Amino acid sequence: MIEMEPVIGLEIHAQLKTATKLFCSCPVARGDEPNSHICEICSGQPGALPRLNARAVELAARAGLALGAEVNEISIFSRKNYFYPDLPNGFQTSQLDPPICQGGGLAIENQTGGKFIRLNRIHLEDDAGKCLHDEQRGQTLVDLNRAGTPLIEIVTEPDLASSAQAVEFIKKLHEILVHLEVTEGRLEEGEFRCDVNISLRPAGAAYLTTRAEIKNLNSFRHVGQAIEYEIERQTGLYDQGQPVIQETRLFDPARQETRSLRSKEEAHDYRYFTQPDLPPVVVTPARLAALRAALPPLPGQIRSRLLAQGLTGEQAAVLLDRRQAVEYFDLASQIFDQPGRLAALMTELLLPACQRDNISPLEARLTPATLAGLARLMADNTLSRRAAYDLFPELWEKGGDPAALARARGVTQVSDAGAIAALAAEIIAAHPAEVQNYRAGQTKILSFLVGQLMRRSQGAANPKLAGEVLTKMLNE
Amino acid sequence: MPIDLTTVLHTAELARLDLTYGLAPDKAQAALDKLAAEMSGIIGHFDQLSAVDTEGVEPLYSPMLEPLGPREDCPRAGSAPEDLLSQAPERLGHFFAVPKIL
Amino acid sequence: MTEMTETTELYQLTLTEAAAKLQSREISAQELTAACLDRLESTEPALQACLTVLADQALEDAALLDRAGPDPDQLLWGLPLTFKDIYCTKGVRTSAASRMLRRYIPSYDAEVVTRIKKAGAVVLAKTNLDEFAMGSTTEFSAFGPTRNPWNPAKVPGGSSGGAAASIAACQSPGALGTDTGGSIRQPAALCGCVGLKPTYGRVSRYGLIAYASSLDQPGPLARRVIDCARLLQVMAGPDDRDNTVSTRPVDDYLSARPAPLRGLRLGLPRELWESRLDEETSAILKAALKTLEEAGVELKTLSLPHLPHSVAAYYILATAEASTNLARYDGVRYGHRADDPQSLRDLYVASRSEALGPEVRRRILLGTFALSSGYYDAYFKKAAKVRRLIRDDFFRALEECDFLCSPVSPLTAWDFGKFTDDPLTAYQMDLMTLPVNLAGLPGLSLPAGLAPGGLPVGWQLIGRPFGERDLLGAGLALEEAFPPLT
Repeated sequence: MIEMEPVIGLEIHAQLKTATKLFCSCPVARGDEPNSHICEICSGQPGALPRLNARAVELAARAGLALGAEVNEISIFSRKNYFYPDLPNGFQTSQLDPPICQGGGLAIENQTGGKFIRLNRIHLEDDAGKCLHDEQRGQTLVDLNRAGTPLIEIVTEPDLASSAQAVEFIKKLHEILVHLEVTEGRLEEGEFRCDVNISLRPAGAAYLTTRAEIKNLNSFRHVGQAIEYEIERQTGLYDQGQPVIQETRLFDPARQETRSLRSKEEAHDYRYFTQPDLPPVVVTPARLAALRAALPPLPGQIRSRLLAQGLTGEQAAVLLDRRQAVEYFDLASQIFDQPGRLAALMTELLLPACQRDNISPLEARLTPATLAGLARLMADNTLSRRAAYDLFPELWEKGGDPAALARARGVTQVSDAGAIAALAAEIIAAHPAEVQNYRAGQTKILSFLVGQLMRRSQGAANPKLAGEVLTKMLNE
Repeated sequence: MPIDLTTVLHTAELARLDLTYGLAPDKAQAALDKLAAEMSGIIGHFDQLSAVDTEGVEPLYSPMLEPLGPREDCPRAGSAPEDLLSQAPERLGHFFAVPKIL
Repeated sequence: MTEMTETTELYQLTLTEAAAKLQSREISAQELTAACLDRLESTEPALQACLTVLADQALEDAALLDRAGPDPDQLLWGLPLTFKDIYCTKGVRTSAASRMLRRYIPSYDAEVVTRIKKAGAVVLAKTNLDEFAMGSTTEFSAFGPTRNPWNPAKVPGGSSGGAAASIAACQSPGALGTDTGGSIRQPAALCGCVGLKPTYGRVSRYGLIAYASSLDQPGPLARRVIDCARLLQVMAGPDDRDNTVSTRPVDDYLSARPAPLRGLRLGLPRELWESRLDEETSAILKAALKTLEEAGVELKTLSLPHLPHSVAAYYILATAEASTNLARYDGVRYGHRADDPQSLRDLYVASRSEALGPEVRRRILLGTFALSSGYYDAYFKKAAKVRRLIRDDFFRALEECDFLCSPVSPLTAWDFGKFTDDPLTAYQMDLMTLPVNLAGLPGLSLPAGLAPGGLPVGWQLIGRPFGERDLLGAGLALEEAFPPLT
């Protein structure tokens, strides 16, 4: 039997993070009463005309820049014609040729090493409304709140060869687009959805075979599962000598299978043509340069920088995963430059507290300056790690100066070498036998002596300093 | 180019039009034949364009000059949703209603 | 028709005359509105120019205006005007003369409606048209045709036939029409009044029920050239709801003065003048050209070699755009819905087939074909290339003269039913007017004379993009040489 390999391409729809719809000034909003965010434009009334949202163009261009695509100076909107109740004009306004961005791509890493997944294009288009099916009444109910919401569609080349690669790719793409605030990317809201084109071909072949398209997957897991199922299904067909039909399929997560939605025979003839109500979309070289200059570093670049600053891979990942965490970290480290210590405080204390209280780090009363102060007190041994962690809840609640709080609580460490030397002398005098054993070579006894000193200081002594002073005195 | 009946019917389906709607069966075929002939005549007239030398000519889809650029991303009220819903042939609450999609 | 005499009735006043009398309070808005309504009532049974008459509302609005008093900044203060029933009017049925929109009440005003109202005008009526502006006679109105005031056995032209007939019959001093392939200029010519099609993008299309988006343009009809200038002054200019409207500043049209005829260079497109005109039209226009020549106008025959392809290019592009502009009429959100549809497809097909008339269905079919897979390149794209060649012909010709001048219609107003069964011949009647729309240029249609049979003959001046002020100046000069018919 011939070994077959999967060939996978993705079409990802990401809802752009704008205040208003793509072609009208209705707010983009979710969860409200049906048809409460509609106007004459997005409900397709006679005579209404579209007016393009400039922000949507910028966000699409930003996505293109981040993904190494070429942003076209001129791109064109076209009408894509078909009838459906959630499509108020009888056409979708999309981009055919040229789209706003072409080319580019994204490197993914997996067990077998890195791979570069090429993008074919990124284009702008408006979303359709929603149809709800009322089984009891035998009716379909149409809600146009979503109609006209701006989307970008990102189309890859068929460069993916496994479900793992596909999932890795969309996770990474999602991370970038959310990071750039191109999209909110809430999968459960359908703000980031994926169509999968998949076919099998003899391993190593250069040609493409008939593919199936799995529509509207809105979770990373479902993308993986649907691809796995589809590989199995198509392999079965090949084994039985049956052809794969070019068709659109839907994934049913409950049954873990894909089902045929419509075959290509009933396919639409979309009759694309230039949308005469919209002039060409222009991104001038000057505008593009400004967008490029304003492009924040990408997650990959930030990760490298954080690692170079001495953070662990895990710390970097946690900071990158949480909104505003890197900004917070950068502010704090400008005040006190011990990145590792700051990252530990953030990942162990600050970010869990943010999550618990459902706020973002920069909204916390515990400001980057406070956190930097706390780290500084730990670094110069004024606060023990335990004391610092004990102070944290109050600082989280009220903010303020950690040094003042530590003094008020009386938890600052004794880091005065003279005071510690006096204590050490007392301990040495009180434990002659241990001292003798130490001097005879049983150096492990030092920790006992340090413990005694700490106890006598009621925990206020700096243990590190105590150890140093004792060692020095014992060796004299 | 002569247009055959199949093309006419396919085109009508794309446009969601029934060319013999409401006609008695005996009249329907005649109406279709007439329409196909008419379409052939008109499209035959269109075919004169094939003789025009358009080598290197960019299509002109709109004569617009110095058009307005895109708008700012600021919410603004348009028509009242209730005014729009009030025009619906059938509604259920705040929904537009249509026969069930299979 | 009405002769201008010393005892002019109020309804006979031209728009500019009436505006002056209103501003000086010599007459009141109510008096003028009432006079126009009376005139409308007495002429309407024979004409059927209006689909909706807003008698009570108009009188109320006029009363409000009178109470506030005239405002010199309001160019149309107190003037009762009509809108073609393809302009959306908030709260007032807007049908596009289609069964599809027989009961459609828009939720918003078209931009032109907003501007005209803001300028102090009173909305008198919504005028008849061919369904969705597709036609040249008003015979395709779902509510029956309008008749030509000069001879009720003849068509008034179209698609703004209701507007032109209404103006010619002095139902109102000014009307707002739309011109996609001649729909203002041709009925103006057939009814003996003045009609202006502005440059594409000079006037907002927002709220204008779309026929063919890259060709549609709103414009005025009136009994004098200067009246059109006044209406255009109010209509023109950038609108933030129409992305295709031009940002170019608006000229002062009201200050247009008659251009000196001596030395005026008029280009005569050979391809239009040499096409077949009926005898009366030909005779009147040839005599008119001679008069111009004697007055010192330089007439220059020019060739625009691609004009003969205009009909083919236009009917491909216009119907293609129409086929998708009219896809929204699906019976889901508004408009006609067939009774008891059993399925979604049934809902679409039955609603559309029942409520869209034969010419509209024909054009949707043609346009769908021209865009469909396998035919797009040969028809739609090819036509768009020819369109550029046609526009380039115009640009070249307009470098050799000040304006182009041509007939508007090859025939004077014709009998009802003459072309209804012969769409291709009907389309070819539009040859004179639709090249201007393909090129996006301004065109002014005005009377050249009255044919012996008692029907008006019109001609048109074609200007450069945004050259409306100059065009109006030339129109004023022609109007002095060829007196108005109404």
